[in-house]
Amino acid sequence: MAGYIGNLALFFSLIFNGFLIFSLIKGIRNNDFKNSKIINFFNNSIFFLLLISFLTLIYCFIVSDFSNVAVYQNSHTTKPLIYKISGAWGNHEGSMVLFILILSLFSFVFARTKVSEKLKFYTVFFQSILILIFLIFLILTSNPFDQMDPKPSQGLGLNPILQDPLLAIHPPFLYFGYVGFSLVFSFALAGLVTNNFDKSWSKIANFWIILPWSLLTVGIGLGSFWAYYELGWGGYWFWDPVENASLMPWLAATALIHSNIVTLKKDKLHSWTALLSIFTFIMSLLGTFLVRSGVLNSVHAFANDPYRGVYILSTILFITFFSLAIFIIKSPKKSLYGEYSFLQKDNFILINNCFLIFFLSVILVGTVYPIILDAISGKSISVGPVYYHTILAPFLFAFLFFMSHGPLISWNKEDKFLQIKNFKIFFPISIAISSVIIFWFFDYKDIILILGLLFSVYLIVSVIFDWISQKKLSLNFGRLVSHLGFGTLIFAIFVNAYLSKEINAAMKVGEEITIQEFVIKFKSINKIKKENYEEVFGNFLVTNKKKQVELTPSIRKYDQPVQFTSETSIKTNFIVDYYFAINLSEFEKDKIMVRFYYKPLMFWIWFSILLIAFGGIYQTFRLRNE
Amino acid sequence: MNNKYKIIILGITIVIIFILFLRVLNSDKTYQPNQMIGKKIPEFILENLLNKNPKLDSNILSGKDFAVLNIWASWCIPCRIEHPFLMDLKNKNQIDIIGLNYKDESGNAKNFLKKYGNPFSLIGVDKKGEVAIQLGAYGVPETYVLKKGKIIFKHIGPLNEDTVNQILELQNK
Amino acid sequence: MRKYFFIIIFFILSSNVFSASEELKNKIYKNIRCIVCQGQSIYESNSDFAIDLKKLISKKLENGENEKQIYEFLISRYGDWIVYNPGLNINSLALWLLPLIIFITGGFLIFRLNSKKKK
Repeated sequence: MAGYIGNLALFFSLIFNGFLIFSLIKGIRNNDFKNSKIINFFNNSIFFLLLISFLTLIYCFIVSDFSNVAVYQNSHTTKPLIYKISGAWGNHEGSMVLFILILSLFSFVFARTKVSEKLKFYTVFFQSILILIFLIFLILTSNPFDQMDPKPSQGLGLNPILQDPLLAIHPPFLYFGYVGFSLVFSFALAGLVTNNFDKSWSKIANFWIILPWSLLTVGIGLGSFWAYYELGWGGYWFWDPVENASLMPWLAATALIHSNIVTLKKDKLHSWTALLSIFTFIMSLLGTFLVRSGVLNSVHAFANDPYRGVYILSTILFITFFSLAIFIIKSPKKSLYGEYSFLQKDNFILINNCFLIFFLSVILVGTVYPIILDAISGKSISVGPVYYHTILAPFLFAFLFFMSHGPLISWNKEDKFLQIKNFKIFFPISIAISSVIIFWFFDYKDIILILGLLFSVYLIVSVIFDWISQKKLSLNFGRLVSHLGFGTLIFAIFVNAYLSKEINAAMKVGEEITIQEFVIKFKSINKIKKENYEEVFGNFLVTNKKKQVELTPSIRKYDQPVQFTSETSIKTNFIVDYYFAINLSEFEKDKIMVRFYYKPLMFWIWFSILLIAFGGIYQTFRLRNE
Repeated sequence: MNNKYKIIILGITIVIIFILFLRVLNSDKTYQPNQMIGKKIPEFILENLLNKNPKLDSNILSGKDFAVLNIWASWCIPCRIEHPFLMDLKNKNQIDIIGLNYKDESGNAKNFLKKYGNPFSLIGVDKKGEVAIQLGAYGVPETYVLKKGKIIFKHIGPLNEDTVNQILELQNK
Repeated sequence: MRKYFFIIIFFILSSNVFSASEELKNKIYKNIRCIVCQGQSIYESNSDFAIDLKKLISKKLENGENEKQIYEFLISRYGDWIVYNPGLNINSLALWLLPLIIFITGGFLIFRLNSKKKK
């Protein structure tokens, strides 16, 4: 019954979307943008219908309606309520509904803002085309309300490693992020088509870029945090193709945020900003394709049939072709040709964009190239962390250097004072402070580590310097916080990468081992039984010099489906994480495999990501209030 | 450049990308390492499963004109599916089949052979799975065709009619 | 770059012999793809295949083989795919060059914009 309502709602949203597109075309043809009432009516209805459909799906998951195929395949009656709910978007079909719902939500909210009627008409038009394409995809290839008869009495269950509170909210953030970029995509096309791509376009676009960017930042951070504590390998970023897929739109959007500032302040760089607006969403779509088409060999990839893959591929290339064709035809002509000189902010933003696009291309090539090579020549290569670290590190240092100076430089090259302040005061102070920090705290003789710390501290000092010299803080607060977050993030990543320690051993209860400076005692073991799993805890005492930490990692045996997972135990403070995970032994049956990690500055990695996102969120609120 | 040409170039690029990814979508995504084909089999000596002697020595294999090396285990379900094909190869086609018993319990392995028949002229015990790695195998069952000690053909997964025919063709060459 | 990594390893080696072999072992594990798994290294996998490879690698290290020899052995058996570091060769040339070309193009465009104004 519920499935019936959901299906009906989907169907009607498709019909209403048809009406919406029809009336938009009519309005555009007659050059009549007055009649926005009917447009708003359809636009709102579509959103509410999709919302009903999505809520119905959640309802099906809550009541465990196994006549629904998606519920049957991904849920189970013994699952805790929160995972029944999150199960609704933890699978391909459900997450596609969420995808479309967010497309529609952005259209819905956008239509309520103050924008010229003409731009609004066109933006909603492009957005509804996107909704149409994905609705057809959903209904044809992955209907979340497919029924099965007879109704099975029990579901297949959700993969236990996905049963985690963070993972329940991670996908929505991610989707809000990269589906959110659809709006600036549609808005850019609208601006191009109507020849309204100018300063005022930029002003409005700013909000719609930074908002999804902030959410995506949080989404990526959550995913990384989840991988850190759930997977049990001490790592937080694996350069897995799916992680990369989320980083690509993030980098493109970061470039867009910066180039849009130039368009906004200097009325330059229009075509580049327009191109980036389009490109950012295409990167989101590419991510969607990579994850859902089954071309990847990855932990995250949804299992899939090739028909679906072909549809997504055609759709994405269709969207890419038409958006770029519109860009080619209508690209603003005044574009790049403003005035540039080296010591001017515009120029530093161009440099920033050059770097960001480089980082993006590294990740894009690293992710896609092996797949293509395999398809063309049958040769398989694996691209892993070594590639990314080797090629990114030197550029990252230069990037940090430019990032330290760019914001301190004035928009007007006549402003000599700022330049003097920048180079004569900040430069020596910063170098002095970074050198002291490095040589005081780190006697580690590794040039990459030293450079990483040097440049990140350099950036942090520059931001603080900038912060202090602000006349009106609220104006630049968002940017300062995000930049500071980036500086501390890089600092923490480098310290973490070079100063982490790990110990792998097989241990019996009661045993004590001493490795490096750590003494690990395996005190005891105990067992508990929960609703949908059994859990065996190991109690360990780690002694590091005088510090003692007690850790209780565990192994869970889930019933539905039967699967073992290893639950980590982490004791964290501002300086260092003590991280413990256990596994059943592969080698000796009476022992347990223990993995102990000493991970410095983990807290700062998470905190920095939050800072970066917070800067963006602050900025969006400020923009909204303007 | 004229817009028209730019769009044509864009269109061609999109079509190329489409064709490339279509190939990716349609390609077989299970990885088949075939590094060992054309190479001599690596050297090893393994205990015999059924008798004390002779041991399974890679030199014995190198001495044979044509032989099939099959990696199997009693715990492996697909091995049961392919077993009749191995029996046929031996009985109908007089092919010399050498077995490599992979990470198995010798009692179970013997029972398996009692129950389903023994197609192997000689069986080596690869208790730790080390020789399998030397051969570039990554699981059971896998089948290698050897010509004078050189690997000329390899099949991952249970044998089927097609692969059996391929093996027979190789024998007649 | 590879030479450089050996220098790092040398430093670690000279500072602490015990942890060095552990560290090297883990480094190699992290660099080997578990080809029967979904995008994991053998370090992160408990599958049979990964366990066998781990045993083999640690045995080879005990026998005094170095990192490079181990990679070469595995590549000779399972192909380039098994090692996560693609290195620099004919197949991976584009992998390293494409991003650099994009960067240089970008740099060139910026340079041209800057010099245009002076004319």
